[in-house]
Amino acid sequence: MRGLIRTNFAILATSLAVIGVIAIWPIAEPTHIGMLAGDAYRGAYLARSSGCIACHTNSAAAGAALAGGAPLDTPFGSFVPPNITPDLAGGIGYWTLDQFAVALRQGVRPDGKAYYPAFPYEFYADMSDQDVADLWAALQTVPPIAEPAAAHDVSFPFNMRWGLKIWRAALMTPAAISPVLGQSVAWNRGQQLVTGAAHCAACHTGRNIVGGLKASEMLAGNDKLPGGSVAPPILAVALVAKGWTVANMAYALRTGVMPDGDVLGGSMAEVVQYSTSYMDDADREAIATFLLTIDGQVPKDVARETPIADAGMTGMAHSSGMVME
Amino acid sequence: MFKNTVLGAVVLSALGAVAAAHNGATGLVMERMMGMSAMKTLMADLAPMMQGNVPYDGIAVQEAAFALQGHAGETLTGLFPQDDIPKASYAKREIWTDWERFAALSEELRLYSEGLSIAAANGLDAPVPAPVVATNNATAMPGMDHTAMQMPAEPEGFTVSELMGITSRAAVSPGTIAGAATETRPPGVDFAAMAADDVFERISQTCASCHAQFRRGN
Ligand code: HEC
Ligand code: HEC
Ligand code: HEC
Repeated sequence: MRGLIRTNFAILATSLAVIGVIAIWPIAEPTHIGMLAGDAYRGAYLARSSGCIACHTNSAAAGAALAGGAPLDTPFGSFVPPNITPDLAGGIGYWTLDQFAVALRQGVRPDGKAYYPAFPYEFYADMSDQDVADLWAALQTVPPIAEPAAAHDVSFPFNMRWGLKIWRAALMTPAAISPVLGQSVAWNRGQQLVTGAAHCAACHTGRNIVGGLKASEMLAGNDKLPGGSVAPPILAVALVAKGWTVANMAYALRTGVMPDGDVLGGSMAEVVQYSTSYMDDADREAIATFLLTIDGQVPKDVARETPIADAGMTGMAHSSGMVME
Repeated sequence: MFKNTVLGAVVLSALGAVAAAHNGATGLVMERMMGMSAMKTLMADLAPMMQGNVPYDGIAVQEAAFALQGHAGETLTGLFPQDDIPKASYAKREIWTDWERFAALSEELRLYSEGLSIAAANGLDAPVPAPVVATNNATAMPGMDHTAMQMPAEPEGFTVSELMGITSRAAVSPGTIAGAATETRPPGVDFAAMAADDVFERISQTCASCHAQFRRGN
């Protein structure tokens, strides 16, 4: 009996020691962007395209810009996107640009602890120093709100932030976007948006039971989105079979209207309303071009139809053979 | 007699086919699904015209607008009596806990449809010149910088404050006079001064906001 207690104690002590080690295991890589000047307009456009505004503003409750979002319900609990206004008390007003860069691209807090992947930092990992500085400049234009957002409601064991370090080591898949030569400028831009900033894969890719994206099922759909909703596959063959073209998809990302006349619903309605409807046409077409490319090409009847308005200028910008410098 | 039986059978099987397509919905549930499907078809017909992909036909737009109007407002809400939600239905319970909002969206759909019947004659250009959305895409983009986001060569009208959500954007699509003037909500909108496609976009936004709140995903 006493032996058992002693063993148990030993196990407990070892576990605590392991936890202790994990807890101090440093995960952030040092970042020195220093004083890089940002462009608030570029940053604001990027913040819209990347969903920062959609998540961190509780529009349904008429909340102030970036003062904290509506709770995100997941199988692990409910996460509240925090107040990221430049308020010293309620927001992130006391942060440095470097701390912001580490949070955004690496998912690590100023105190060295990890963020939950409910904050889709994996998709922001490949943002450039300039992108980060631009976002930072844009955030400074937002009125500070002193009220912090509510706390997360996450149950044991997921409420233990140190556990995220193990998650990161095993499952984190930071975006690494390399341009593909021989693909059009539009395709490459689309790749950047879909696999990076606009984080389409966050919903359209299945996740394993601990919330890691299944790399082999990239964009192949996810029928277990929080709230029981389904994100269909957005792989080219499936999309083409449903009648999607570059033109009607770009239009759907602006207005929500699908080729069959129904409108995009569920969480996709919010993606359109709060993000893609603010993009410029070139970006929406770039997304569609990337998603509808099969074997390196957009099938001919799927490529953008020439609007009758400029029927005289056929085939100008849209040929997918365009090579990058 | 024989003829009537045959006719009856044909009608029944036609109804049956429709019902089957809606997972065995019956009664009011089926009626509202058919109403929604009719609106879907109208929207599908209008969309290519609104994008300028097929020639614009003002009369057809006006007729479609009247048809949409007929499905909206109290006609629509009347098809949603508070009831247990049958299995075949995608309606959400929130319809009845937030009835005011649901009814307001249905009325908004009616108003915008009426608006489209008024704006139909304007075609794709508002009577007062409004900037046309430029479509020179890839060529307008600067050389690829692989990690930095490229920006639109010419911002399409949203301000930093609109992009950051500090102020709500003026209109669904930038550059319309109705938008520039005020953040408009019916009935304060002057549809006679709007381009048909701008009103059409408001209709689609109304469908989307109601679905986002009150219709379960398929
Ligand atoms: C899908 C929703 C979502 C999107 C999109 C999103 N965030 Fe967040 N963000 C969150 C959540 C949830 C947290 C809290 C994570 C945690 O506590 O571990 C968070 C945390 C943060 C934090 C840390 C705040 C603090 O007080 O520690 C910053 C900064 C931040 N996000 C900025 C951004 C920016 C900038 C963007 C856009 C590029 C963005 N977020 C996009 C959900 C989101
Ligand atoms: C927050 C989760 C979420 C994100 C992020 C998201 N989607 Fe979706 N998407 C959905 C859901 C849910 C649906 C199904 C909508 C419905 O049922 O009406 C959907 C549907 C679609 C469809 C229709 C597919 C079909 O089968 O017809 C397309 C296209 C699409 N999304 C593209 C995108 C693109 C492009 C992005 C990135 C810019 C994106 N989505 C980001 C959740 C998401
Ligand atoms: C006031 C709210 C509301 C508005 C506005 C609205 N809908 Fe719906 N729609 C619903 C609801 C609720 C359902 C689910 C009904 C059910 O399954 O019982 C639905 C279902 C549908 C369906 C599926 C029908 C089926 O066969 O299952 C389509 C298609 C549709 N809507 C199209 C549209 C279009 C197009 C518009 C705009 C022109 C629109 N709706 C406007 C609430 C709305």
